[in-house]
Amino acid sequence: MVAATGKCERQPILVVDDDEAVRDALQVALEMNGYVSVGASDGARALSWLRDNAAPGLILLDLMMPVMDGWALMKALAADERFSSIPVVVLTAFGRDLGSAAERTVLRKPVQLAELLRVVRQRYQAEARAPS
Amino acid sequence: MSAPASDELLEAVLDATRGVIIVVDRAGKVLRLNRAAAEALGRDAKDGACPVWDLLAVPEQKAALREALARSADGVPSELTVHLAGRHRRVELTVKPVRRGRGEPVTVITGIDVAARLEAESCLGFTERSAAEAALRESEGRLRRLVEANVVGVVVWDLDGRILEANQAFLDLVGYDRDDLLSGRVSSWDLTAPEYRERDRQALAELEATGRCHPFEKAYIARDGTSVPVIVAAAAIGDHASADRSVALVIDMRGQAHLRSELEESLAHARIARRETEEANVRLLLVADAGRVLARSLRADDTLKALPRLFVPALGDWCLVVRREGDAAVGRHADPDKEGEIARLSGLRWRHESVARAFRTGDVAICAQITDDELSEDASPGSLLTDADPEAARIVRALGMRSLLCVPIKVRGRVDAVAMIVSSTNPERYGVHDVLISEEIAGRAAVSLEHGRLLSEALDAVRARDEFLSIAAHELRTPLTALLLRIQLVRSALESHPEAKSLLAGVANADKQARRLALLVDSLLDVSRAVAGKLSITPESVDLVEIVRDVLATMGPELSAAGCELSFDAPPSAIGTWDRTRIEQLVTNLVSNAVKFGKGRPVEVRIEATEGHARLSVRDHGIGISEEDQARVFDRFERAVSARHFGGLGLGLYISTLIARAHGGTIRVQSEPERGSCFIVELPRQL
Repeated sequence: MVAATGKCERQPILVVDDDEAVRDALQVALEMNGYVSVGASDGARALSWLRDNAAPGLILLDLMMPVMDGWALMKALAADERFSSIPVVVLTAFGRDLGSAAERTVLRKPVQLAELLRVVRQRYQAEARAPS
Repeated sequence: MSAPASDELLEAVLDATRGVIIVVDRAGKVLRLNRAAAEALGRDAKDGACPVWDLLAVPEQKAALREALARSADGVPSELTVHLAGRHRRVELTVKPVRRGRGEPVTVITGIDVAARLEAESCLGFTERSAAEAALRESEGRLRRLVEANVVGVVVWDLDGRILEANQAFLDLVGYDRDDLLSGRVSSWDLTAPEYRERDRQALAELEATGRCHPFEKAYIARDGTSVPVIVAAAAIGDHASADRSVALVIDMRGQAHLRSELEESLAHARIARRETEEANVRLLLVADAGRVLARSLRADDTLKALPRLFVPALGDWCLVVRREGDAAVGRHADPDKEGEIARLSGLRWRHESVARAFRTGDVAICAQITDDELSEDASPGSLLTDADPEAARIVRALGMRSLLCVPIKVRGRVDAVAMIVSSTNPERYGVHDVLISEEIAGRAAVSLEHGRLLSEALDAVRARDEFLSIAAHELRTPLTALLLRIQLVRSALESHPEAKSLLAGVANADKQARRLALLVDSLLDVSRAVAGKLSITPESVDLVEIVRDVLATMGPELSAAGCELSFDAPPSAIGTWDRTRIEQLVTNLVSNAVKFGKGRPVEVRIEATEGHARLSVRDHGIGISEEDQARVFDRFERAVSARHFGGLGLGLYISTLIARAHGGTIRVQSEPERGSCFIVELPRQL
């Protein structure tokens, strides 16, 4: 499922999480703070959306997902020059060694609203530096 | 020469002759005796007119003389030996007829004194013989005294083994009467124990050859059937070449034999004791070795692999450890060249009947005197290989199996494996000691297996728990994420609407409880990761002062609610390479504790920075911690106070310790009961 909400003139934030309640809450939080968001329920759907649309300002990425998990999506992004510069913030409840994901900015679930917004502000369009 | 002159001369010649001459008529009447005859008969030479046989001393000889005279009358001469009456001289007579011209024929009997003849014949050797006989008489005298003294047994026997004489000492020794021995009813052969008869024959041969035999040990069979050990020495009596008798001196060795057997018994005991000591030493070393080797094996497989090394070559030529599942797990051969056969045997289907018995009964099983027939590959009733294929039976026969020691390895009453220890050549290799020693080793192996199993179970349990905690934490966090975000969104929305103030307090409380729940879930996961040694940190350059200020700002409502006055003393900044989230967690834990146990009194937070370190201290003036509790509070699930009055999992300080350590730092407490506590964290600025 891929759904875009909010104003389309800004680069959206792609929220990739298999849990609908979490994805929904994240999207609402981002929207209420002026961002546009797109939701995807796994890595494969996210990749599919990315191929069909302009690059997002940030990807908020869960790790443990069915079909294609967060690690696999990051690998796919890194391998494709169209996507390799998109900033990624990992948001995970995974408690063990994060592996390659540890190189990214990591937020731990459950995340505080203030912390989420601080990191998103910091990382949004960080690599792309597109005008807001 | 005239007749009278001739008669006189004849008379003179007859009387001068030393031989006996008797002239008799045909009727046997004595006509004339010469002087020698008269002297021999002790009569006057002129006496006559008696029949010549009246001159003989022995009546039986008279008939012989008459016959000789009768033959003489027929002109036939005779010779015979008789004893003459009177001085009892033994003489050899010649009876011859003599014809005179006109007169009656007469018989002339001439006789030679035997003693005189012998004397004459051996005139040369007379002195030597006399001396020898004198010596013999003297030695016989000594022998007689020895015989009569009864100090030692003395027995005299002839060449036929017939006993001629035995003294009382000998009779006492053998328990027979003198009559039993001298009558010939019991010979010296009969007296000798059968096992010594050959030795007796050797002694007799020596006696015949040299006239004596050296002392030797033998045993007599006494009349009551008991065996009497003796030492015997013997000598021929007189000149050994013609001796027909021997004498033996017999010394009773019964007392000495007893002493000797006691000595030999003591020696045997000493030898056994020494061998047992040596064996015990070997066993002790084996058991010590077993203890050392098995203590190193924490996994069941390691323990089973260690067993063959303990049993071979100490207890056998080769060994297989057979598992309950039926396969031989491991084996060993004393000869490294044969390890290949052992390995092949491990992979084949077979089992010895004794192994099956050890599994069934749980006791050590010994199988001795194994023959190749019993190792045949067919399932014949005689075969002791159960379930064997031909290849396995062939290898077993090739390796050799003459006796077996099957040692069950019992873990909690169940036989997990059987060590089959094999002697390739000795059909009676195994005894009680081997059973005891192998049981001891098996016992130790069982303990090791049990430890290994418990450890493995414990590790499995820990893994399962960590796995569960990890999944549980993940599953709890997901809805918590949504919940917290929703509550905080509502809260921030309400904050811009003053008319909804009462509603805002409720939402703020929901927010607080949700955060608390999130912290508890974090703690659970942290602990499970810490146990697995995986408390990871993501260090980056951060300012400790900033972090602490943020945490204190976040906790402001909590501090006010508890009535604690807060003071914060810090330099402008304290930059270091730390994990921001972890340090936040650490500070939160310490300040939460200060609020919880601080009795509403002031809480002082201070940061000091040196070139290499940053020091954070959090001081309260609350209930404090007793000295004995101070070390304990940093342990997992420990708390210095009752859980009833103060909630929480008791994980806060434990996790704080893990965080400090993960950063290469330390945490400690200074405290006195009822005067408060001060927790001090020291962190190196660079990892």
